[in-house]
Parts: sequence; structure tokens; C-alpha cells
Amino acid sequence: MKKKEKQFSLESLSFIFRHPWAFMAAAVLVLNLVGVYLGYLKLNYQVKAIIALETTSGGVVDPKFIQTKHSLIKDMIVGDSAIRTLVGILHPELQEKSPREYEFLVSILRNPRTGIRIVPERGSSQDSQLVSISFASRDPKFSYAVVCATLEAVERISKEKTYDKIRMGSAFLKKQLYFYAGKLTKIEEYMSQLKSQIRRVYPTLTNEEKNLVDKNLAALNLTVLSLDEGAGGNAYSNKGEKDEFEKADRLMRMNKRKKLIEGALAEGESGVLFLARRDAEEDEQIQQYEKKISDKETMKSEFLSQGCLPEHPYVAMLDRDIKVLADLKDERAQRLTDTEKAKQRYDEELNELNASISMLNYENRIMGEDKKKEDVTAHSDISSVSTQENDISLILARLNELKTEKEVAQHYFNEFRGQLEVADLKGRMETEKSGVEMRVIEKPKLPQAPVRADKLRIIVLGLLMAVAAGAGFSYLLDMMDNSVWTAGELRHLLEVPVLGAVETIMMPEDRSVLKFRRWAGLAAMLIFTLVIQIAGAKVLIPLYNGVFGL
Amino acid sequence: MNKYIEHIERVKTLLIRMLKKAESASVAVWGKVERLVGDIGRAPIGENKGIVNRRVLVYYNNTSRIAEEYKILRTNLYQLSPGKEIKTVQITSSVAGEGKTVTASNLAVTLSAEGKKVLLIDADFRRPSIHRMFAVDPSEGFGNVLTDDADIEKFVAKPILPNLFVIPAGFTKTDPLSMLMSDGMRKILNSLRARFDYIIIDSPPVLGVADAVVVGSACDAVILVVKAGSTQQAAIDDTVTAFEAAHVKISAGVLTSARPQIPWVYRKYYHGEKAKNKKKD
Repeated sequence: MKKKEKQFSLESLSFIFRHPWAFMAAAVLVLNLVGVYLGYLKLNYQVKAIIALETTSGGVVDPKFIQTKHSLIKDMIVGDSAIRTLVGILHPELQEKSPREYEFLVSILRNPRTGIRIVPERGSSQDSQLVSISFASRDPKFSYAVVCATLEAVERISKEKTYDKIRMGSAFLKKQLYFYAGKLTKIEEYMSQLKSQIRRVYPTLTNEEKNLVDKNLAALNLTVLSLDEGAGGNAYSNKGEKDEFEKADRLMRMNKRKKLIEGALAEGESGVLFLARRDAEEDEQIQQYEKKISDKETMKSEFLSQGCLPEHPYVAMLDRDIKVLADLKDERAQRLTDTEKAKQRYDEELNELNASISMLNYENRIMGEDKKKEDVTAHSDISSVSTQENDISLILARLNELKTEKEVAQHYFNEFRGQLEVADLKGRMETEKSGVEMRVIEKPKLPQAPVRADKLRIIVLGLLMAVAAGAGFSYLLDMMDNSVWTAGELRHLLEVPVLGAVETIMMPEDRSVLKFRRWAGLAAMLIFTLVIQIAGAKVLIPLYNGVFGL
Repeated sequence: MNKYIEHIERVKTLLIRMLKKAESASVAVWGKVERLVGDIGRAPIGENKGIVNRRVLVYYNNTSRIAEEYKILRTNLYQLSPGKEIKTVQITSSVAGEGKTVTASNLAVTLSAEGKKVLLIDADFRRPSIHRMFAVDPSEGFGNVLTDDADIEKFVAKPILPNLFVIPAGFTKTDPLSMLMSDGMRKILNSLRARFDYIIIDSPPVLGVADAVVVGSACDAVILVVKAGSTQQAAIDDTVTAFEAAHVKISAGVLTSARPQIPWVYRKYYHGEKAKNKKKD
């Protein structure tokens, strides 16, 4: 009779019954390891927040959105720089104070198993991404602070703007604007030439002519005396003149400062103190401190307005920062207003000022000589012009013409500038809208109870693993076992009939030996279990915690 | 150093004592259980009470599962070679401890219970054991017959059980192999052939000593006993090779210590009083 071929039958599991002790030993070993692991399970406090990233450009998915989404889920938090930003938010001074602790914190947060988990949530669509941010640690407050800081970091990333769109959109307007600006500059240059011509001609004119000129100039909002300034002060003057103006401004300020310091030093201690106090009020660093303090305070008030308790660790952190900054500010102010030090500082400053002033004067003198040379050439050009057009009435007519032309150019310039401003604003608004909007859907909460480890799942998995390990081990033994097990095998081997298969005749003493062996085996397993569990609790776990743990 | 050895020795003796105690205690308990349960369905012992070892279970419990297995064995032996008359049967194994003696004894009892006249000979002079199965005098036996020290008629005159005659190994000073090699054994077997239906010879294992092959060459059939889960395939191969070298062919195999592959699937038996009662219900 042909044997019915089966892919799998119960008989194929017979290797387990051939080596029951191997099966049990492997299973007990695995169960013991699972037991040790269960004992090792820590109580973790998990904080979770859910945010929604959305694109708001009317159903059109913005590439920026996808980019942010991907960077958030894949690179952002796992990325090294992002983690460092986050730690910077959490502990601003940690990197300088203790670099080792800082690196350790970074490594913990970056660890994919114990660090921050950013997982896409269900319910996301093409233009909206739900993301859950969670972190678990032994300290509930730390978990909470980490999640809050992560939210802040994510918000920072999502607020990043690109202004490429505006630049492209307003290119035409800008071109027009530059054209009119150039035209205006040219007109003004020409007008200034005419003005200097008038100034040179003016003393030689008759009274009648002088009256005419005065009248015309009055119409142009000018006087004969103000003609000297004509070449300077306009907005479109060339760069050299601007530099010169700045230089003069600097010189003036330096002279003023020099006089102030000299006066204060002459007045003695009270004068120095007065000046130092005034300086402290205007000190840049102190102002920066004040700005930072006000920033932190707004952050704190925002945080509190979102329903956070004042005991919240993040608020405490902000408070601490504010206090540190205030201390720094006070220290700075105190240092500035210390009379002795201030006097010394002012002496040094005065020396520096004197040196700079003399330097600037020297430069001006050289520049002035160059300028005179240029002026001579310019004047020669104009004088050639003036020989051609010596008639004052013609000059005035030209000036009036230029004035109308300038008005028209100015009108267009203003018009395009306005349009550009509007476009700029519009583009800015559009980018803000079409960027990525972050909305907090589930706020992080300070956990009240630790996360209960799913022990049942671990136990069930452990049992399955134990059965698998036992089966695997007994299968391995069965594969290596070369002995005859069935009558079929024996027939196959001897190639003669097998008369029969008989069972062992069990005598009471055999049974007792078997029973004794069975109990001894079970007892050995029990002892092994006890040893492993005690060793696991007393040695392995403390060792593991000591080497890898927090 | 001696101190440590002393300590170890002390612990060892203590452990051994404990183990012995535990074993003996469980033996006592199991003896009671056996007495309470095992008497059911046991054949009447009568005048021969105490002369048969309990390992010859077929004698005590004729309807047990194991007895049925031996009956199958016996039936298959009848039909082993239809054309050839089989009277002398050697029972051997590859290595020691595979169940030769138990198989031979049980088979002999099973055959005799059917009315066949059976002679059981112990040819294992190195570790004789048939005398432990049946209460016979071990001082004289087959070895003495071979060396002409004793008369064969002394052993085949009176059956130890109905239809069952037993010759133990006996005690000899000469080399057992040379005794077997001599023509004497063949002559004796030939002289006994007409008087018995079956002559079953329990012989030493094949690997290690040459006795079994020599005995096999004088027998009609050679049955190789193999212990399940213990005998290695290589040992069986070696055994077959050893017999082939002497131009002896193994006639059949018997698997001892056999157990069902899956315990609860194959536990459907129809033997014994309990099963009968169940069937009635």
C-alpha cells in the first residue's frame, strides 16, 4: 500500500517526545531569562504630545510642507544638530558647564530606543500630517520638559521662511525702480551743476537780474546761500560722498564724546560717576540682557496662558534663566558704575579717541586734497558750459525744466516704490500662509502615574519563545542523534523483516528509578531557576544598570 | 589537601546514602502499588510460584499489551520463511543491554504457552543471565555439556514450565569461544532438533566478542534485537558486516523499548481487563 503523503503530520513533532528533557531544559532556560527581564523592567513616566503639520495654501500641497514633514519624521529629531538645539533649549548653560554631562544627555536623547520618539500618527492626509512626540524616562518632570522643548524645536523648524517667491515676483518692479532712481540721480547732478553755475555768476549780476534769480530760486525752495549745500545731502548721492559724510559724522561724535569725557574728568569723582551711570544706561550688553529677559518672560507668560502650572519644570527653567540673566546684568552695571574703574576706563578711552581723531583728520586732509583736484577738473567743465550759456535767464529756464522733470521722475519712483512695498508685503504674507503651520492637538501633560509595562504580553511572548527554543533544541538533538527509533527505520537498515516492536517491561524498581530521575530533574530545574533569578536580581541587573543604565 | 579530599568523600558517601534511601523508599511504594493493581488478569501461578522472574511478564499476565506484542512476534516467527523449517533460533544484539535475555525468555514462554515444545539455551558464558529469569541451578549448564562434563539428558528430562525446558550457561574453566567453535555444539543441536519444536539460544552481543557469529552459523535463524533510541545505526551496520563475513544472514530484527511516537495519539489499545470492561460499557 502506498503511504499517503502528508506535508505535515503530528508524527513530525515526535522529536519533541524523543527528547523531552532537552525540550524542558531549553524552555526553562528561556523562561528564566524572560523572568530576569521582567524583573529588570523599569517604571517609566511617558509624556506624549500630538501635533498636526498643515499646509494652508488652499489645497495645494506645498513642497515645503513635505520637506518639513520628512525632516521632522526622519532627520530632525534623530539628527545630531537638532538634538543639540533641543538640549540647548533644555539646559542653556550645560555645554559650557559640564561637557561630559551634555554629551551624555545628547546620546540618551538620540538613542532610538530610549530617546525621543517621533512617530506619524494615524489619520494623516496628503496635506496634513499628524505626528506624535513622546518621551519616557524615570523622572516625570524631565520627560515633560523634554517633550515641551521638542515642541518648541519643531515650531522653530516649521516657522522657517523662504523669500524666494517675493524676490522673483517683484523683479520687474525693482527694475523700474532702479531706472527712475538712476534718472533722478542724473537730474540732480545736472541741477547741482546749474546751481553752482548760478552761484559763480551771482555776484556779477545786476540788481534786476538778482531779483529775478531770487524769485526763481524761491520757487525752487532754495536761497542763494543754500546753494553751497546743493551737491551734498540727497538720498541718491554717490558712495564716496556718503562715506565722507559718515566720516564727518563720526568725527563730530568723537569730538563730542571727547569733550564729554574731558568735562567729566575735570569735574572729578561726581562727574565720572554721572557719566558712568549714563553710559551704563546706554550699554549694549545690558540692553541685550534686558531683551533676553523680556523674551523669556513673554515665553513664560505664553506657557502659563496655555494652561501650564507654575510648578512646571519648564517654567522653573525659564525662571532660573531670568534670574541668571538679571544677575549678569546687575553685575555688568555694577562694574560699569564703579568710580575707580570708570575713571581708568575713561582715561583709556580718551587716549583712544585722541588717536582716532588725529587719524581721521589726517585722512580728511589727504582726501580733501584729492577732492580739490577733482573739483578743479569739474569746474573747468562747468566753466566751459558757462561760456556757452552765460545767459542767466536760460540757466533759470533750464533749472525750472529740470525741476518739472524731477517731479515727474520722483512721482514714478514713489509710485513703483509703493508698489514694490505692497508686493513685498503680499509675498511675505503668502509665504507665511503657504509654509507649514504647526498646531498642537494634544498638549503634553505632566504624568501622574508610570507607564504600566505590558507584562502579560511579555509572558505570552516568553512562553512562545520557550516552546520554540525547546522545540529547536530537541530538533537539533534529534538531528544529531543517529540511533534507531522505529521499526520502519530498522527494517530499512537491516533489509530483513522486523518481527515486532515490544515495549520495555517495567519492573517496580525500574519505575522507581525513572520516577526518581524525573523528580531529580525537576528539582535541578527548580534550583537552576532559583539561582538564575537571584543572580539576575542581585548581580546581573545591578551590573547592567551600572554599565549601561542611567 | 587531604582535608578537602576527606570532606569530598564524606559528602559523597552522604549523597549516595541519601540516593539509596530515596530509591528504596520509592521501590517500596511501587511494590505496594504493583501488588494492588498488577494482580488483575494475572495467570494462575500454581506450583511454579516464585520460579519465574517478573520480567517474564508473558507468564504472569497473558492478556497484557506486552503479551500481545510477543504474540505478534511469535506469529511473525512462524511465517518468517515458509519454505524452510526453522527450529534453532539465535537471539543476539549489537551491544550489551538491549534486551536479548528478556526477549528470548518471553518468546520462549509465549511459544510454550501455545503447546510448542521449547528449549531455551543460555550460550552467553561471559555474562550468563537466563538462570535469573527462571529459577534453575546456575552451577551446571550448557558449557558443561559442551566440555562433556555433564549429560544433556539431565537438563531436557524435566520441563521447568509446561513445554518449556531451560539450559543455563553453567560454569567452565576453558575459553568459551573454543567450546563454541568445536563441532560439539552442532552435534548437540542436531541431536535435540527432533525432540523440540523450537530451540531458542540466548547469545552474547556481536560487537566486541566473536561468540555470537559462531553460534549464528549453527542456527537456522538469527534474530537481532535493537533497542529503540539507544542502538546507533553504525553499530547495526557493524553487526551486519560481522555476520556477512561469516556467511551468516540475519533473518529478522526485533525492536525493544519501543514507544509510541506521539503518546496520546497511539494509546488506543484493546488489551487487558480494563479495556474489556470499557468496551462492554
